[in-house]
Amino acid sequence: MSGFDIFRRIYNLFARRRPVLFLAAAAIVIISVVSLRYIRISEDIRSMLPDNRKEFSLNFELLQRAPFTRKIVINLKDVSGDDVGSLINAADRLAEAMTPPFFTAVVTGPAVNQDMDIYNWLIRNLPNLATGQDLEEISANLTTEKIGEQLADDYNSLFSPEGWFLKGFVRSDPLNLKATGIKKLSSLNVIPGARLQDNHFVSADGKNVLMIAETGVDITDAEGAGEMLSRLNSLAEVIVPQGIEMSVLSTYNYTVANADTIKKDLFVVLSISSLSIILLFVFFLRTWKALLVLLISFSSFAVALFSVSMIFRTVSAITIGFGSVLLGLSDDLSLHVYFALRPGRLKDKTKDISGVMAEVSRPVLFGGVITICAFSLLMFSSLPGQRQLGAFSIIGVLASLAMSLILLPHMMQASPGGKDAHCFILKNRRQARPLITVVIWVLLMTGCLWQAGHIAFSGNLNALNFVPDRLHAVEQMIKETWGDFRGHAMIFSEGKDMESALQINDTLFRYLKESTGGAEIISIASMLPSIKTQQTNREAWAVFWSEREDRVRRTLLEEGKRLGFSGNAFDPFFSGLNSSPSTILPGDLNLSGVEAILDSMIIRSDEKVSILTLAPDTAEIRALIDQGRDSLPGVRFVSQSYFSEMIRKAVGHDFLRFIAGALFLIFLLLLLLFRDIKKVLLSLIPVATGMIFMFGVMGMLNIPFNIFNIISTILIIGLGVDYGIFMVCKCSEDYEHDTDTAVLLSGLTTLTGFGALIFARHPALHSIGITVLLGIGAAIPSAMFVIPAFCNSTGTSREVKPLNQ
Amino acid sequence: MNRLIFVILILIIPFSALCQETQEPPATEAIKADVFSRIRQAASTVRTLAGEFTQEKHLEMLENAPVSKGRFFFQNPDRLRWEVYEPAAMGFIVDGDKGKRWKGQSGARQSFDLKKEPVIKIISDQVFAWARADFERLGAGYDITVMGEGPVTLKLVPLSATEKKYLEYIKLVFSPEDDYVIAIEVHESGGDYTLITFVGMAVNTLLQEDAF
Repeated sequence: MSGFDIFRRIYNLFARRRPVLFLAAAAIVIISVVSLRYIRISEDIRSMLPDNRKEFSLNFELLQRAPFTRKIVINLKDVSGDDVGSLINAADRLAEAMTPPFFTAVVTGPAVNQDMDIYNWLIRNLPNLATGQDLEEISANLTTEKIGEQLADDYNSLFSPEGWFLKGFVRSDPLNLKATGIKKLSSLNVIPGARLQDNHFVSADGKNVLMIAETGVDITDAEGAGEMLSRLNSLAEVIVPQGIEMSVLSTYNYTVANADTIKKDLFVVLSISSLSIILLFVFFLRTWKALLVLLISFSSFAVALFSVSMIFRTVSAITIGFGSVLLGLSDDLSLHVYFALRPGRLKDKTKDISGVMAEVSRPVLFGGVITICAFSLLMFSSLPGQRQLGAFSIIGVLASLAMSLILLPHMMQASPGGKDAHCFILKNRRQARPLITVVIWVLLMTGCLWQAGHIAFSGNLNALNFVPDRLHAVEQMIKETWGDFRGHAMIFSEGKDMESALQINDTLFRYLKESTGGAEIISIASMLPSIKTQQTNREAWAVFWSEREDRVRRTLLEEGKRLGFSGNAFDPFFSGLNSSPSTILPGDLNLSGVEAILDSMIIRSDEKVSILTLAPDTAEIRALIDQGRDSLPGVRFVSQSYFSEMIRKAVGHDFLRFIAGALFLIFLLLLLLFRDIKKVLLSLIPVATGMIFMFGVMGMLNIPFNIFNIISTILIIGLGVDYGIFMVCKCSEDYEHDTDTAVLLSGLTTLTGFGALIFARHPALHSIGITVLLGIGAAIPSAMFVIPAFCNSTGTSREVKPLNQ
Repeated sequence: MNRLIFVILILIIPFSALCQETQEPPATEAIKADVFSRIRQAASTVRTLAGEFTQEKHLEMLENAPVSKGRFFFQNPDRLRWEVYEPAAMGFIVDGDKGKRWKGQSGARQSFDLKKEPVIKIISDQVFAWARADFERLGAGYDITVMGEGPVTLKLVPLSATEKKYLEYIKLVFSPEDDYVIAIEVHESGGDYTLITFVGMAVNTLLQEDAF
């Protein structure tokens, strides 16, 4: 077969200058290795969010604005049967001890302003708050009969245990109009399972107390989050008595859990993959010279990591995890060179080393270039993390290619010993029944294709987070005890200023209330309408009472006299009716508990004001917002499930683009290499087998395809084509360099690299491992058996020559 | 709602007092200690109390001073029934840490956990404190003075500034035997006042089990 003569010349050039070559290579590798300790590792999942569309980053940022995203939810649970008082006491003492720098605020209940009575506030501000629907309901209660019944209730309530407290309200609100206002308060109930006791959030069963803390620690700062949570635990150990269990739920718990897991995984994965590769080399190659191949793999890894850290500000932990895979990938090319030059191989050959290099360089170079092309497609990904992985892989393969073709031959010549070592070499024999192999392969592929139809794309980033069992249990407990207050969909009403945002919020609230009844909608619209809405409400209120006041006054006096009320009993009510309250502004709402909610639901920035509404994260609510999009300008819907759907669509789009692009590029390069369509198609057999098998098994086992599996697929394509090229060269051309053994060993090292990822607890790393294990696991046997079988049965095969060993 | 204020106000509702201002000089500390001791000793013999009460409301918003009537049952240490039957039926029962409440003649009884009903818990705790003559507990919230010894009359002035806004003072009148309260007077800051007078009180009689 023909080769690239340039590599003969390169070999001869450095043969006279080996020290220079070795020094230059050593310098590059040493600089790279030393620099690794300065790399800034990032565990931020944002690297896996598309950054080409503003909508993604905006939605992600908005998701972080959820009222509880940056808060630490602390649940104290009584397990000893003690009084709720001890829970409250423990909560108070713990809150007092939670001080800066780790904690900036702790809330155990709504802030109490003892000078402010919300009942009186509601009565006074009803003209601002009562809507047309409220007035209709009030009107229905203004018949003589209803007024009489209400007054009788008022009168009797004076003798109840609460009578002393209620008498003031009987005077200022004999018609119980405050009930209309109280209903409005329910739309501010962010924690549905909470009731108030001694101004603390207490669960319905009285066995849990809720605390909500704030911290200045950044949500992605794993180290700071770890220190903050440790501080909380150490405080609890001292303060929270036995018989009370503390559970903590916050985004920080996930940050810490994921960072810890990734770090542990990296150690485990890199250790196992390195060890297994060494063992494989010992078994197959049986000489110290084999370590040169490993040295090239590790060097490529270091050079790639160093280069990536130079290009990008931080290096994603996912990229480093993927480095273990590259260890298995980058040795493929050097292994083929090694087997061509292995000890004992050249003993009886007429060709010199430079001649072998010219010959082996052709498939190695094409294999490497095709792998690089496949990975280069990742550079067009909308996910920055995938782009970084693409750069990492391209540099790694480039480094491996350069070192394999230029450095390795000289290192093998310069290193002592091993000249008579015997490698484990597969025997070169013709397949007895190639047709059976082909039939089995076709049947397997048919079955896998059928199952592949069931595969589902998943964009749920949460599913790629590591959630320890303990944290999952806390999640469930908090949800069951207090309601799903952390899982709401968020609807933002955005305006250029407060008034315009409030007007949009009013429209949104009316729309949701009319459509859903409003029972599960959490909005400030009921307590803080826009100035325009308040003005409208006041005018409607004035008109309403101007038409009814005289009649209501007469009825109240007559019915009141009958019961024993004095003539001036309801003077406070009538003076209130005729006084027009001032407009409610956000700053006026310093009511118990309301102020904190307002703070979290009004988001001010330099450019705009956003008002947050919380709603159940259901398809129905999403559909409602979609349907009303035209009538709801300035409204933006964000939810975890919606965001997942966006990611899922982006993943699907990226995936199809990558697959089509990669296959097209590979096809062109293979055509350039072989100039024979039959050989091109044969070379693609491992790729096709690996992908179809992977999709088939994933479909059968209901393993969803996620954003990390795109990387896996690219890898299967790159490696699979390599196997195909070498096996087609072996079967159809005069290329005899222990190709079967080289393909098997390189495949096995890749498999062990991925096998190590199976041991990762982090779902993202585990996901990469399991899928590529399937793909490469199928690509190797297809390369070793199916390509020769096709070659034999189609007459593409050359004559088998005696084994040179 | 501002539950704290609500709770503080409710604290004093059932303990309305006699309306007439007495002019007796305050007892000395020694007299006070002696009176407390007498009441403590007498109260320690009380296992049950049963009787009727009348509640007279003197409110600016009412033409006359309406009188409500009800029944009162107490069993040491932690059972209480407070029931109004005129002009409307309403009431509650506390039995340990559980309870029931009702409104109207045919109103269904609603069971409750006393821990989840802070208002009734405070009322019952106060009644239990007086019935057991727990002056340490009462003294923590009120400045107690002895206004007279025949019968023993105590005046309780709230210490909390918040409570003072609504409540001027409470007056308690004890039975000649010092073993239970026979009248309560609550003076509000605005001039309204309420009288509760217990009549026909039976001490240590056997109470029917269904009373609670």
